[in-house]
Amino acid sequence: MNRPNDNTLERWLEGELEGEELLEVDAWAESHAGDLDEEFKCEIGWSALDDDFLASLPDTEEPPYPDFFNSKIQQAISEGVVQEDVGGESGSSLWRNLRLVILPAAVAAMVAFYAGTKMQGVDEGVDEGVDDAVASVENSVYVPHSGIVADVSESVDATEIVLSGLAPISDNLDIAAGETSPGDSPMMANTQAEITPLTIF
Amino acid sequence: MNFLRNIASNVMRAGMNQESSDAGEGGLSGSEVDDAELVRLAQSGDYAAFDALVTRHRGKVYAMIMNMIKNDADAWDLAQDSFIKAWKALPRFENRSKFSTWLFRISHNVVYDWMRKKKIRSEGELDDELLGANQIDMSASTAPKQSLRPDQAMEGNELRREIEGALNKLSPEHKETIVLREVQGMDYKEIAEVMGCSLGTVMSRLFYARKKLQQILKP
Repeated sequence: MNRPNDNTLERWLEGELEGEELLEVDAWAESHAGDLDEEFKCEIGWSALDDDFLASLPDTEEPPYPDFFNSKIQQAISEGVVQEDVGGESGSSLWRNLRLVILPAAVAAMVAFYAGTKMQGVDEGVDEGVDDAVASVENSVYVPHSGIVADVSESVDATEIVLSGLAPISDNLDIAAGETSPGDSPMMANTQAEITPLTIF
Repeated sequence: MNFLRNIASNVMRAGMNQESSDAGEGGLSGSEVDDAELVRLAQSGDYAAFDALVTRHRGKVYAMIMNMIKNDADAWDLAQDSFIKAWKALPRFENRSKFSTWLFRISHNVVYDWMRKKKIRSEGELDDELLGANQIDMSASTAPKQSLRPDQAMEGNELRREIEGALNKLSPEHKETIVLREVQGMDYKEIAEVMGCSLGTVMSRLFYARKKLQQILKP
């Protein structure tokens, strides 16, 4: 096929060609795409901008944390997690922006913590002294009623507190109702009589 | 089933062997092994081969997505998704096109899905991120890496800002066509393959995208 006329090419660009005519122009354009593009570029004086484009936008750019990038892909694949919902409801953009910083920081913090636990043995002497000081503080129990004595005894796995001098608990006491003595429940108390009207002068 | 089991075991094994594989003489990350061979190995369940493909193509995929959406974190996620989907679809890849073209096609779908969902979520609202005009960050990591004199850097940044601003005024289809052609240097047929359209549509988009850019950038 010879070069289509300008009108046909214009209709082709506009997507107005159909059927046989479209197939013919497509076939011609496939083997002349470069020339045609150059022609179009000249028509609008484009060529002067080509170099600017190539210089200003990178054709390749390593993603941040490239090794982490690879390992995340491997992790997702090995876990069989292929997100069908690409980029869908994956959280706020603030979180996603922070995540690039937080994830490596979290890894670093975990490593530092692990290293810290390993280094603890070096300073054991200092830590033991602190432990002794803490252990030497005696337990004390505050008892609000006079005549009642609290006796504290500690073993390896339990602390026992024995209160001496308390009155026996009556079988009639309704603990669930909050009674502190039989018939004396705060839930049944008539507080109305105790309220003194406030007088404002 | 055996194929899947083979892949699973290779994935696990690759984690342990990756370092030695890359460091060794028979490492797969070198440019001496072509994509077709790596694809063949990956299709047989060799994860180290796929990892080499990721390492080889991640820069182009990430740059392409960044040029489209101008957001580091989203571009990182979408590039990840592209490779994960590529791994999933790898058994169906028949080497009829270049691996890079096929991968760009997947990235194209991933980005357009993401843009569609983003548009639906923000329907009725003015979404600055989609318009992109205010998203251009001069300190973004897409800045040219080489050290320039301050005056050159300023001039370069200024030019880049102008071009990116102009690109963001194009429709996503026009923007992608011009980036694939002018930045990635793809031929017209490859662009048609990546974008899933006819050659005529590619030429038409290039023509109108250039025309509009020319108008915007004209002093």
